[in-house]
Amino acid sequence: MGGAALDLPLDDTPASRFLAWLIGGLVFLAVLACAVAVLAQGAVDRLAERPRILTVALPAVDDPAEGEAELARVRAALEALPGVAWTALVSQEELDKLVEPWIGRASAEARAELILPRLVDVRFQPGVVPDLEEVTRRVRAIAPAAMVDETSPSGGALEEVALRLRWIGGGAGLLVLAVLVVVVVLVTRASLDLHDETVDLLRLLGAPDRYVARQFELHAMASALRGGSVGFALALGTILGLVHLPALWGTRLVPVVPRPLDWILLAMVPVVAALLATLSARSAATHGLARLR
Amino acid sequence: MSVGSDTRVDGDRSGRAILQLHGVGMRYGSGDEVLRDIDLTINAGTFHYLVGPSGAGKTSLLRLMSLSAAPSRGNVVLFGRDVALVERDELGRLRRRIGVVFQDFRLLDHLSAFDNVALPLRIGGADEEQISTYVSQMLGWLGLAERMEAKPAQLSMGQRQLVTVARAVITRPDLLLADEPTSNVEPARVERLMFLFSELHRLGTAVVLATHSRELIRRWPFPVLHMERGRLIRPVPADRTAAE
Repeated sequence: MGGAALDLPLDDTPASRFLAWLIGGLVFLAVLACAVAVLAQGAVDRLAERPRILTVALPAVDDPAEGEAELARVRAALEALPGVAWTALVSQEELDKLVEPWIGRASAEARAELILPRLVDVRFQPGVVPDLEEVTRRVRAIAPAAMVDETSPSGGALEEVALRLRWIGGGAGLLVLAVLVVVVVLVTRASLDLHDETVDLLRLLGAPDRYVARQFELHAMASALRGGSVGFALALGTILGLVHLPALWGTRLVPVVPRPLDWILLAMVPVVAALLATLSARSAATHGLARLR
Repeated sequence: MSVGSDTRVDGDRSGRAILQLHGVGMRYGSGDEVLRDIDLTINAGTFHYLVGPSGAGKTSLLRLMSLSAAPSRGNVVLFGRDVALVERDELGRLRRRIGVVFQDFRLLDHLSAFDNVALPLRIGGADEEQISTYVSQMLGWLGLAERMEAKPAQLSMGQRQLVTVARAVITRPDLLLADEPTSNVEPARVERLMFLFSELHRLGTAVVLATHSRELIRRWPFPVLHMERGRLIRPVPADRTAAE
């Protein structure tokens, strides 16, 4: 009696009855695809947050005292830069290792004859992107012949894979949502044909097109919310299973875990699906009704 | 009263024409015309019976009047608007001013009697409190208070007909078109229905009631429109029809 029932018996037809299930399956796939995208984005972000390291090469000087003073001034200037965590002089042992590929294991005397630059590692806080030009300008104000290079460990293939997965996941998510739109449009058109007598009656009672279209719209929205909730819950279980279950056996299938923002983004998928289903049903019904007089 | 090219029927109280048919013909698909050369004016607040043998075109004429079918020629002017020229939204507004009692009921099987009757009010945008009051009163008055939640399949033929009538009159339309509204109803309830129709008529609704019942016309005398082979023959005075 409360007006909750739709005027059109849309739940009585197979196409409409299965709409919730179809949407549920599509939301499940869309959430999984989006999960791949957000986890890949998480990996990209984590790689971007690894501490960056610059290495400053100061040419050797004849006067050790002068060299020490220059080194101290350079380190002080570097440590004054925003975002710098610490600076460290590369030890003689590390320098020996660096040149070993070229000169082999030379004797102490032979190595002493080599004029090697003094190297200073500058490590930045995680997430800070060093301004190479500014660092070079500051260092060269003290040691004009100094060289500055980035020596951060590279993200390499992992970063490349993560970037690709981000696009593949996002693209697949959008594709699934596009399929959802097509499914809702087809089901709405079929329902409109199937219920033409009832639609005719409603129009005869004076129902404007928007009233009739609203019937399809409400049905699609209810189906999308019902199916979408189930699809989302199943996808959630799958994601949690893939991320956390292997940890019980001391292994990790997925290298990153979703962040709170990722969960919010994933929770938006069924909402967007419901919105798309509603708008698609309205549009398909309105166009279908426009053909009738 | 005039006969022939313009059948302006008597019983006109306000003199305002709410429905005019000019040279109207109608056919289904590519078949023969089921309505021919209909010229008819129905004024506000009038009551007419529409009589004639089966297949004379009564139901087709009512379909034309209720805008559920379009003429193949001629024009239909409803509430001062040429129907062929009105916009879609306007068509809906015109239809909301008409109540139709269908011979085959056309109730929605998945809705209760209450929701079937409430349908025109919901379409018109009435609030649920109003709907609850009006529909309960109407169904109660028709003796269906206990059957409000029943689906059409759970109702007898007579009860279904009453629900159809209730749906047609719940908005107090300006024009009521009823196709054999008393054919399945038990005699005691026929009195009640006819009282309802005549009360609506008294309040200003124009009523066109198609019937085969001479008894009805005798007991409730109103002007009669006679149809034969798709033509409106002439308006017949109520007393003469009754006498026949």
